[in-house]
Amino acid sequence: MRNTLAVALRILRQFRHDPRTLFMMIVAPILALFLLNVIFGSPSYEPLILTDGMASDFTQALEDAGARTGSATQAEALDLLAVGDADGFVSKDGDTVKVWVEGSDPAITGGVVRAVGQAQIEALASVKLDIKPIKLPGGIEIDVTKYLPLPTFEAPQAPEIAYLHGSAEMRPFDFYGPVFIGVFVFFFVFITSGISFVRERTGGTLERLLATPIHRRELVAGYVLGFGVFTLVQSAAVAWASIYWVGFPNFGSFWLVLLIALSMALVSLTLGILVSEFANTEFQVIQLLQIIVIPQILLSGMFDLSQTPGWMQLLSRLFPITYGSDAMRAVMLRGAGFGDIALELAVLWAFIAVFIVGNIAALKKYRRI
Amino acid sequence: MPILSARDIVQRFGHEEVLHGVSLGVEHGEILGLLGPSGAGKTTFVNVIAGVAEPVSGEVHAFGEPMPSLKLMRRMGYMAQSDALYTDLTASENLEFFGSLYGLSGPALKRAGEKALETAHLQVEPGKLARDYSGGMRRRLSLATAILHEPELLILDEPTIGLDPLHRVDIWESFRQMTETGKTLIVTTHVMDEAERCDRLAMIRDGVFIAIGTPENLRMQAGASTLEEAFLHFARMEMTQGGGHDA
Repeated sequence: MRNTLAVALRILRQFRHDPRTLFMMIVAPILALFLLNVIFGSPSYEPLILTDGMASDFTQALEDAGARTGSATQAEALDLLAVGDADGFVSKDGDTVKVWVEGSDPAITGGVVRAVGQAQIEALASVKLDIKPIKLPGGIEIDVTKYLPLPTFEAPQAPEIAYLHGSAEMRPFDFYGPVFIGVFVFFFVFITSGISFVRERTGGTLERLLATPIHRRELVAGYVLGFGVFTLVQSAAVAWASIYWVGFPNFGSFWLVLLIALSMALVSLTLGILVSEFANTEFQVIQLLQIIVIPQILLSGMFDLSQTPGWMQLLSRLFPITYGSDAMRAVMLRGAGFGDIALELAVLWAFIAVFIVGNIAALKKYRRI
Repeated sequence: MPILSARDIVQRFGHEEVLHGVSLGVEHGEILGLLGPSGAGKTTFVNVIAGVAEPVSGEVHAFGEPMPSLKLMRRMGYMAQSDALYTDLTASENLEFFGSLYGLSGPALKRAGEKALETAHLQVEPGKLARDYSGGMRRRLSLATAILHEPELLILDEPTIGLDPLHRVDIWESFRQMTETGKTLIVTTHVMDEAERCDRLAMIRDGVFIAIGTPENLRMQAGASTLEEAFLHFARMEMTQGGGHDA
């Protein structure tokens, strides 16, 4: 226990003498989150749609659907599309409406198609039936509309939306914010702990330590404790800045967010040390990061996996980040309590336990006791 | 009874056998020198006897008990070939850290640190990080961390490498003083004049001890006037006797 504290104290002192690392570990993830928030939090793009020979009702409806409009001939419009100065062109070819798009950015293509579709429905709704009175010989006119039950068209009223979770103010990106908090903490802790332990090995201090009467488990525990204190500070800073400064919506308890972030950081810490066992240089730690952490991030729930092949969904269930992301979303977006995420937390702590035991076993390579 | 004995130590890294079944006994109160060129297996051997590397086969006994044992390691000191310091800590933080692993704390730890620095002939500046010291100063700081807990048996891997000759003389004087207080030292070196200062020498080449004895005896046996010539003599003898360890 004394040795554990000695190792932990040493690590904290090393951090104190290295303010740059300290600064980077806290500021870098917050900066990345801030940038993401600005990028994805900006208002969505309004496509510029040119029309030729379309009714004014239609162009009005396009604008209602969130597009900018203008008119041009087909030749002019296609030139503008080609250089990227316009996003779509709508004209009538007989009875069918023809839409041209530039097509390289599916998001913009989708925006144009959606606006045109919406405008068509709206234009249809505003059609007024223009039925002329029937003229009988002798100058008598009969207004048939008075006698016929004619259908009337009205624009559909906007539905009322009730939110089980979240709110109308939430932006699409807010669904991903909780995932990013955990992922960034994981990423930066992995690099720091992995490199720190590789240095311990290459600098000869690991061998030197194992010549002292320290137990392998005390050494690993010291690392977890020393870095643990530090990751607690880091997790708190990142979670606080994400919610109260960057402004990710949080419908749950801040303390639960912190607990999840800290748990993910400890998984990353213990995994980083274990993985550094297979690296001989700092550069190799980065290489291993690409193999071990990047796939985890891709499969963490950042992208929707529900339609992917079964093996991929299974694979994502083997990765700790997935459980952290699930728990983070449950708390921040759905206001889940401790009981709701106990299973995810248990899985994370099981990973921590397995990696700690793995680390103690890996040191056996140097000394059996 | 030897204070440390190694029997039939074989060590292998991958397919390469680095130690071919070597044996050695170290007597209480002596300075035993391990003399050999780099790549001979000196560091591999001291790592095994210090308990920081597991040999493929063979046994090590220290103080009459089998190694590795945390209880015995408490009575031993080890200075690695690399400085093995935390360069982002100050000198006294390094001393405090290693000292606390041997159960020292408070004023006792402070006193032990001061004494170790004196023995290593090093004056430290408070607040200065280890990485800002010169190579020779780091070497002496590394020595101070190894002797801090006053070990009975001290294993030093190339302790004087990179030191200025004046400091080297001072430090060998400190080694001699330590043996006078009943300590035992195992020192690796590839410098002949340092070898001359040892009580006994084990000459090592290509993973085998080619000769063991006092410097004077070895020279006489070899009919040589210097240890260098003696080393060459024993090396040639080992080769003609068909060492048989190659490949």
